[in-house]
Amino acid sequence: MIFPPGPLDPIIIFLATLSVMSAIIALESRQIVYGAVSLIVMFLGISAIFLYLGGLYLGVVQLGVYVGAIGVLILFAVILVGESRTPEPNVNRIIGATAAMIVLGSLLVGFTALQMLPAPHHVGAQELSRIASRLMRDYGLVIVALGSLLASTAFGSVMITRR
Amino acid sequence: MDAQTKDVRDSVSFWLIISLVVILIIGWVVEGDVLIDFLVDLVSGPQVLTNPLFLSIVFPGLLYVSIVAAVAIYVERKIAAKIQIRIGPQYAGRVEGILQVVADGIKMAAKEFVIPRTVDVTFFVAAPILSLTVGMLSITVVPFSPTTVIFPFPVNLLLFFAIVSFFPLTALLAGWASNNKFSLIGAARALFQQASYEIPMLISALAPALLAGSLRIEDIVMAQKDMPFLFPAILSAIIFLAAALAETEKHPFEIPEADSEIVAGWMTEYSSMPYTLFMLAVYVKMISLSTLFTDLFLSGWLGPISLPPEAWTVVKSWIVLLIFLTVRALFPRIRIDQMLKMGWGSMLLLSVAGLFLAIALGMVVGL
Amino acid sequence: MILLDRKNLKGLLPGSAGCGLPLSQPLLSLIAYLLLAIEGGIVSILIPLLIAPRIRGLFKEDRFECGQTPPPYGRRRLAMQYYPFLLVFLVFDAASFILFMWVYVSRVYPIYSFLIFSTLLFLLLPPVLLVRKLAEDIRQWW
Repeated sequence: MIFPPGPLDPIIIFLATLSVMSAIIALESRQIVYGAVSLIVMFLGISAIFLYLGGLYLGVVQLGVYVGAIGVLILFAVILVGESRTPEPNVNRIIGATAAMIVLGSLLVGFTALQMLPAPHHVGAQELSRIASRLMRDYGLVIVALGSLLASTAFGSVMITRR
Repeated sequence: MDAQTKDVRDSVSFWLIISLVVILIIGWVVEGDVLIDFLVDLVSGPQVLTNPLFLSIVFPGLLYVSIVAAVAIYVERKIAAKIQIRIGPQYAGRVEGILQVVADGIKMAAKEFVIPRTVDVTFFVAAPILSLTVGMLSITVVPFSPTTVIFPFPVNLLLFFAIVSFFPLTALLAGWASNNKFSLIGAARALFQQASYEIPMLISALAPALLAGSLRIEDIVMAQKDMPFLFPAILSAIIFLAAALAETEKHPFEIPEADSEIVAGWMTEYSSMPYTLFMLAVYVKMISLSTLFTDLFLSGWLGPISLPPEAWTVVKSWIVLLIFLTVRALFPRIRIDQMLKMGWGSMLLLSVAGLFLAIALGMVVGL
Repeated sequence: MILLDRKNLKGLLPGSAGCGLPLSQPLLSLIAYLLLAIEGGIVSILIPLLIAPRIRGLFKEDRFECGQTPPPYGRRRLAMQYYPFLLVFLVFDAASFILFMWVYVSRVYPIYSFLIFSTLLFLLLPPVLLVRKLAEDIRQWW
């Protein structure tokens, strides 16, 4: 495997196309369950990009949390709600697509002009433990704050569903 | 040929063409003589054990998994029969019915694949294939020895749990596509069951990882050179075993496919080979979970007598598999609300307690 | 003993083109395994479609409804009583993946990491107790 992959690496292009296409299908699909499934495919594509670029922990978390929990939960909610059709296409869609294109183009131009795109590099197990120790030393209390945030989120969402 | 049949054939042949094209592309694109390397290695001795095609086709791959699954199905039926004072398979193959599994396979293949009029054909056909694929994927990250692993990965313990968490997805797809209330209830039960056992499973798998200081299963096994982690992490091991039983949807936790309540759960509308694929996926999952248990708690390929390392893993994982198959015949089914209360109550608390116990005992022992 | 020489056999079979992507060995075996598993699934679904008799009947392609006439719409709505469990599961799933970072720091900062992560674990207990309390009054299980 050649590393780091360049911007025209075929696997990256394939995965990116897969993710974008399934994101579009997720929005545009007439049957809402198909949309949920293609959303899950999009999560899979993104995690494959992470894994290919060497972000192993991040890729696995993307797989386990986004595909395994969030995607499945969305699919279940969609199935519970039942069939419903997406609204008819209107002019807002075109405006939205144009705005998205403009934002994406300006971001790309800005990043390439400023050369801010960081070079990817392999994160092995050694590097993972180094990152974790850094995180622990500098941001240990942030993890606790994150835990309390998660706990209060769970508390609040449960209370909302019971109302 | 009516529209329904045509629809099905079109769908299946579409997937077949797609996958053939993918195989051709892979064969064309990959650098090196993959097939020739495989053939040469196959006739030239023990180095074949690390050949990538041998790994994926023969030893920890498809052949091993399907043979062990077939044996497990036979053994399970015999054990359940003996425990319940029945006879079990008796006639096929003359001796204690050892060819019963083969006979059943042929019978299932010759049955008609009934596709009801109201189903969503794409997902109805795709769900069993997806289920089998996810089941087969779960064994790719479990090492049988330092070199005998299909996909070596630095954080393969987490990757295993990520793959295993896809199973309710296939159940939900099958249940929704079947367009049947029993299927839908079964699928929802599968999802809730996963929500209740997965957290205790993750936390109890954290104990051996903490004792070894690594998320790589190979490192976890090598850290058990002096003592298998079963002793310091005994409580975690028990919780992990219970959660693995719930994962395989076998009898005390056979809630999603409870025959006497909701026909066959999310497999209600399936017949013939797709049903077999779902069943096969369950057994493959059982094999990979028992191998993972062996690696995490029973010191994997390390053993007192010097045998080939793969032999130790295989023997220990078969013993764990026997425990799974025996427990299945012993207990009645619990209800889904009992499962949820158990998963979020005693199992969760005991897994946290087991984690702290493992840390304390590990400090005492000096791991 | 090597019976065959690799060099003489080069280029004999398809898959020996050697152009394009050099895949690493593990990735190659993973992809081969995955494709074989999918192929196995597809082929075994094709077998009954090809060899099994397909006999049409009046009721054969109806849904299974335990002998009753199936109503036109089979997907019924489910009660939402267990949904809070799913929400808590979502939070716990994310938290447990954070928890696995403990493994990497337990040797570097043993006491500090123990304090941080056990605090994290105990912070997550109240939602579980709440959900269990709410689940006590479930009257109808399915």
